[in-house]
Amino acid sequence: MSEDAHAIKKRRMNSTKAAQLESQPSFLADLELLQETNQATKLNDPSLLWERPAYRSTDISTESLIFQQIEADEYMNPSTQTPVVRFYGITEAGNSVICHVTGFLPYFYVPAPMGFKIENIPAFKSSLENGIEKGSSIVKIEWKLKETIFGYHGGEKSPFLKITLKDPRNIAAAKRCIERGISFAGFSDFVAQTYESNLAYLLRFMIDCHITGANWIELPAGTYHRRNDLNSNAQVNVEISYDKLISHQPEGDWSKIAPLRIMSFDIECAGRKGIFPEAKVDPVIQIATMVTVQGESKPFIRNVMVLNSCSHIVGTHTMSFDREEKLLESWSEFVRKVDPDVVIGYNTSNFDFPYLLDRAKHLGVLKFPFLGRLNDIRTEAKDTKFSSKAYGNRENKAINMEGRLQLDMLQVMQRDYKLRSYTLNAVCAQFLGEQKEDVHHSIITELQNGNEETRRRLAIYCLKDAYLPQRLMDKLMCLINYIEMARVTGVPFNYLLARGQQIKVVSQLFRKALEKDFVIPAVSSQGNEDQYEGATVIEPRKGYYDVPIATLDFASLYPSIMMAHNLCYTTLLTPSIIQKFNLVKDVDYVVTPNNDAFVTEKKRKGVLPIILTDLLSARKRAKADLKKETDPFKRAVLDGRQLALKISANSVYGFTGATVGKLPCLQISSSVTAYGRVMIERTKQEVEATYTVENGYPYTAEVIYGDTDSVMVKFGVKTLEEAMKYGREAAAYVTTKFEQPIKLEFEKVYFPYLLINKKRYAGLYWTKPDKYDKMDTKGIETVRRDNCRLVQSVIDTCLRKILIDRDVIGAQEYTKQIISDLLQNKIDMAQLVITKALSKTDYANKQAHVELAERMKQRDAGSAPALGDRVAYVIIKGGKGVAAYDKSEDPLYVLEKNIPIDTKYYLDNQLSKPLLRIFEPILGEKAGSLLAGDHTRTIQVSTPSVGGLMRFAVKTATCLGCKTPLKKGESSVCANCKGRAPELYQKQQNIVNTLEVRFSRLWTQCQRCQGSLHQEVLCTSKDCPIFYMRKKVQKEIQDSSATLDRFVDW
Amino acid sequence: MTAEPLTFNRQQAVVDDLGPLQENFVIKARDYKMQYAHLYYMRLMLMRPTVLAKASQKWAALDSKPKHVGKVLDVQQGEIAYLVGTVYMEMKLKPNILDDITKDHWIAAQPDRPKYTDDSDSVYLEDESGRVKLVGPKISGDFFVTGVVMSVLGSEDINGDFKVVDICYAGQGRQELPSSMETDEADKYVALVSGLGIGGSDFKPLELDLLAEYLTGEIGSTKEQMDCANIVRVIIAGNSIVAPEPVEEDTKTKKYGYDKSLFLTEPTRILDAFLQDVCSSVPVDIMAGEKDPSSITMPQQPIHPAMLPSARQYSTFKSATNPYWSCLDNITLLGTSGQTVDDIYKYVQSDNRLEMATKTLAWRHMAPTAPDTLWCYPFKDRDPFIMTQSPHVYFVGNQDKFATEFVTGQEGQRTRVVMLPSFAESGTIALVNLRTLDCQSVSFSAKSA
Repeated sequence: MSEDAHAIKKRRMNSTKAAQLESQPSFLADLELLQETNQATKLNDPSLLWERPAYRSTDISTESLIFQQIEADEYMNPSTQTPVVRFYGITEAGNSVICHVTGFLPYFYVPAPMGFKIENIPAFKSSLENGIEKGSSIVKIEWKLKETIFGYHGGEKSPFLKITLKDPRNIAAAKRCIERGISFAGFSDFVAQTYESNLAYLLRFMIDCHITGANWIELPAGTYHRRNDLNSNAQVNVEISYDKLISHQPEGDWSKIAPLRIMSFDIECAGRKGIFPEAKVDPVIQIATMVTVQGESKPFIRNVMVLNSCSHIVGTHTMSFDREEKLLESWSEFVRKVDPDVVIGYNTSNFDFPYLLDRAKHLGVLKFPFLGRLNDIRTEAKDTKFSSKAYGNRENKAINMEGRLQLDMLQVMQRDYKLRSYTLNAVCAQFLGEQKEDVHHSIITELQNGNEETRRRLAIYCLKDAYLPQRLMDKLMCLINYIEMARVTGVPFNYLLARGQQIKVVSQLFRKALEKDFVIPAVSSQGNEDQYEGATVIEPRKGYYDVPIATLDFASLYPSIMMAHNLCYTTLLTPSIIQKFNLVKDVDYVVTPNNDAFVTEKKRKGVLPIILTDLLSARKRAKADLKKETDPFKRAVLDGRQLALKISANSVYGFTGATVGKLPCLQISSSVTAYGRVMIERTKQEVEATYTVENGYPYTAEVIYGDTDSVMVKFGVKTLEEAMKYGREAAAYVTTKFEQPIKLEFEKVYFPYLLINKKRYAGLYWTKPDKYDKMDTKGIETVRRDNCRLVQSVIDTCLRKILIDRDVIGAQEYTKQIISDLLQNKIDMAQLVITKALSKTDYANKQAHVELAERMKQRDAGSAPALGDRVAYVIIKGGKGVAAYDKSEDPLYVLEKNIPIDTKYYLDNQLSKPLLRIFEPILGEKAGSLLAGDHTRTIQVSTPSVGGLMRFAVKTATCLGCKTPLKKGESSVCANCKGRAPELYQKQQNIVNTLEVRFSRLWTQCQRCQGSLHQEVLCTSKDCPIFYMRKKVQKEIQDSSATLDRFVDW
Repeated sequence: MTAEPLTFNRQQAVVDDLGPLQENFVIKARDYKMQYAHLYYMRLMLMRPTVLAKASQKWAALDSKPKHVGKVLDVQQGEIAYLVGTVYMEMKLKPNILDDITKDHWIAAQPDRPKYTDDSDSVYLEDESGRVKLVGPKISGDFFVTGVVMSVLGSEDINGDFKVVDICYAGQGRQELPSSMETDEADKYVALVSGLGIGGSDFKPLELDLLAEYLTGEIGSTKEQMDCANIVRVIIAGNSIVAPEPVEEDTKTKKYGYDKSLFLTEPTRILDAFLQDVCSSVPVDIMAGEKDPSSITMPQQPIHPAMLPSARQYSTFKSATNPYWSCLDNITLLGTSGQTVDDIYKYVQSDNRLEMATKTLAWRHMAPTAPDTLWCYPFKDRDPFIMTQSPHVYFVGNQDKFATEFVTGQEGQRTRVVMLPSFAESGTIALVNLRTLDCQSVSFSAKSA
């Protein structure tokens, strides 16, 4: 207690009330203290927190301006008709900056034609100018000695024309013009490949100014001036010439991250029954927003805007609106005021933002669509298509918000993680380890139309959804990892989500080319799908190995091959060049196993090997720093960096092999894989030749499998220690047989090891002999979405039993038990549910989930899944010849109506294949016995309450002991079974008790999850493992307690 | 020296069934479409007026004039106020069925923890509008369990938490003081027994025989026999029978599709014989307990009388619910077979079970943790666990040791609280004097006898 409080207490005690007070309980002092503090801490208007910290005006002639740029775009200065780059950034004090960089002009190269002289330039220029048809668009043409990056030409430079233009948009026209052919003084129809003409202006600028994504930029004192832009919301607006700014490489202190404001939000709309919300009809009823400063653990702004009244929510700024227009307008204003640097959410790009924009347009809220940092640019949703070999085809909406980064966590998840389901619920269960209450959209409208309490409930739900993306992002460190990736590869942050892998390599290649004075041809992609031979696989010796299997891995195999053999565009040889320069094989050049020739490092070190060396040594540094670093935030940055470096190094090989790419060179990529194949084979030979009984080893080693960059060796030894010893030894020994920096590493021992097939195996993973690290599985598809959960849990449990418990018998017993349970209908429904998204209405073939959605619509249009919903179904028994797609049924309907499950389908189509796959290597032929036998004989089929003959069936009570029909007056057991009544009663009681406990546990859990005791549970999350259990137990307990009640007369 | 054979007449007591108080424990038609929200809602509705009245009485006259805020969420920051609501304990160690399921067949379910307490626990107060976190030394210095309806005085702090300076419970229910008639009759006693544990590992047949002989007045000195004749009723508070653990048979080939649960008739037969014996001489109420062959969720329904065919023949035999209200000579008795306190025990760091039992009197609720962690039937129209009346005798069966305390309520209510140990483990029963409410324990041991 503070001094003051004592004083107050004393003063009061001396007053006339002293006597009365003394008789009162001791909490009075606390109460007074509380009153005092209340005066002091009374929080004012929460919207005062919205704005950024005030900007301390500085003297630009003596102080430099330093900021971290997070995004950049370009525009044409209307008066000079030259491009300007606009950086958006944040200072370390948290002030927002817009910096216009002027003076940088776009350019490209053309090889000078034979016989071209500097004097020819004016003629060439005017001819090209005519070709472009845009007036005087060429600024200058210079004569430069450059070398193409493609191929080794003896290291000689040749003349190039560097063409500098005013307007970046004219580059394409100029390029076309030259590629079509151009005639000028004495040169008729000069056709040439252009160089570096396919590089976007912004990236060109960043490369030339050595600016990487999200790095820090310094404008030295006196070099920049302020601007009074009317269209900007930034606190600081400045302009500088491109040659004056200083770009700090993200090293050391400059690897810090500015206090970025991260806004995470979610909206709710009131949909109509059975129809997915449409912006033209259904109102936006709530928007919840959280704003967090990067690096802080809690959001400093938590608010929710609600249409209509809403009860107070603790710790949250609740704002009520009577008109939707006002709500939208206020939110838009809020965004501009808070001025977030990063905007995140879940499926915001494809749902929330387009919906808000459409809705605002429909309602005529004119001020709404200005969400960026420039108040004269309207925020719009544009369709984008994006296809990448690594990420597949995606159709997305792109939302422009100038100066703000966007990280739609759904897209991040889809890009970076392979999951069974990408619903927010599933993702949270996976990464945050918690279930999320899921309110069906039909209930959302009901809650909204209720009272201020139900709207409050919805608001809490909305707030939770707004906060989860932030928590996910923090947990997975996406923002930091992406920032580091932008820094390492040099591309703007926004490219990382919007573009593929290639652009990252392009950025690095151009940077290195600039440094080494190479020019890069603008190859038009031919788009031929030439496949070259991929990695090799040593034919697996399938089986279950109950001895340690050592695994030898090539560290960063493809990058090291490229480094070791100097494989690069710049080192590639053609036979004519070999002849021309009299190159000597194995001295001046080497021939790869793919019969391509590359010069050795002696002649010239390739650009790609240099890039790779830089990346890998930077990674080594980052990892070393990571080991030393103790600050968790800095550790996160370093870890993000080393990961980015690793990914970048590995993508270089892919870049050279991408036939639909910026600069494909199959000689490189084919040679890389060819080397890889040779090395794997070589490793096998060396190991098998060295570790033999003849050479004095206790056993002869055997390579049982090898794939891409690893080989699995059975040294024959029994203990982990020995296997690890030999593993290390063999790795070191084989490494000596290869060129630097190729390194074979001993990484782990699998023990035991179940080798199923190519790319399919499982094993217990050991890196130290005292405890295994984890259970490792490859290619055992437990995450395939069209599997039910049962498959995953059975396979997983079997593998655990086999590998961890080393209990093959136990695994078989378990499998039999599960199959028996399945056939007897004892498996929980949630385990059998298959889910698929209803993405479009017209599928070419009939599909189970589409057919079901149709049927459900006929039953009750209100609760039927709408487009975009995920349909959950189980396969039910159907008559002969009923197509599989017609046997799908809604799990809830199945529970209610007691419809029998097609357990045979689950056994034959879902379980049997994966089960046989893992048991065959162990049991061989006998594996089939798992699927047939005693345990499959007892079958229980529930009696459906709908359809077919059930209408004609008459229910007769049977004896609970022997199933004979009961006589009149008997309600539980027949006369013969009378003696067994206590036993039968007890049995039934036990069944009821088990169900009652389950009922209690399930429903109290849901209550805890929804965070309320007094309100009914509304959640309908089909992803939640207890959703169906909860329903099922309600039904079962009702039935079995009715049976128990039949003992009344006893 | 030979003693004259003496005859003692067993005294009798006037029995009252207490009407709805007891009837509310009986579940007639089971309906599981209900969720638990109704039970919490009913509890809050029924208890709020009492708690509020108590709170207003306690705080309204204070200098700071705290006002009552009707809804937890309407509390304004920086304003001294008092609220009424239901406690919710956020405890990460509470058993979580989701964890059990996700770990599934693989990792064995975590062993039942003796306590759920953890440093990260937090206390919330909730009503139909929402919940608020309670903080302050008053909160950290006391124990709370989910489901108690109480009032707190304090104000919302800058974090949106409610800083509590004082707490008010409903307090003990009303009580009719028994007319202390001066009679010449000797004092009457009720014998409280729990945990006979027949069939369990602690079961000692000899001691059970001794108990039967004692209750029927067949052993002991004349004095003891005379005392015994003054026992007007025996109440057995649960766990009379221990169901055998199902044993997995590894040797035989596994049979699929059969129930593995064992059924042994022997323990029920022993219990039946024991009850028959005792009932022939004194009325017996047998309550269901956690381990008895009865329903498992609270309130437990009576053991099916047909399980005890011989004892049921006697009019002195009664199979009762758990918890169980009864009234003898205007003395009300309330007992549970122990689960109510066992569950509270898990929420609390202390091991003082007597304190927990007395606390339930102050809470005016005998089983607040139902349904959160104590399995419970989903009532929709009542909360039978509210102690609208304060019993004169309040006993809790199957506790770790014998303990008793005389509790006096704010309005002069007098309650004898008895913690009954399990007979199988301790050989101890309790006798409560129905006139003075004095309580003593009686122990049996086959060795010394």
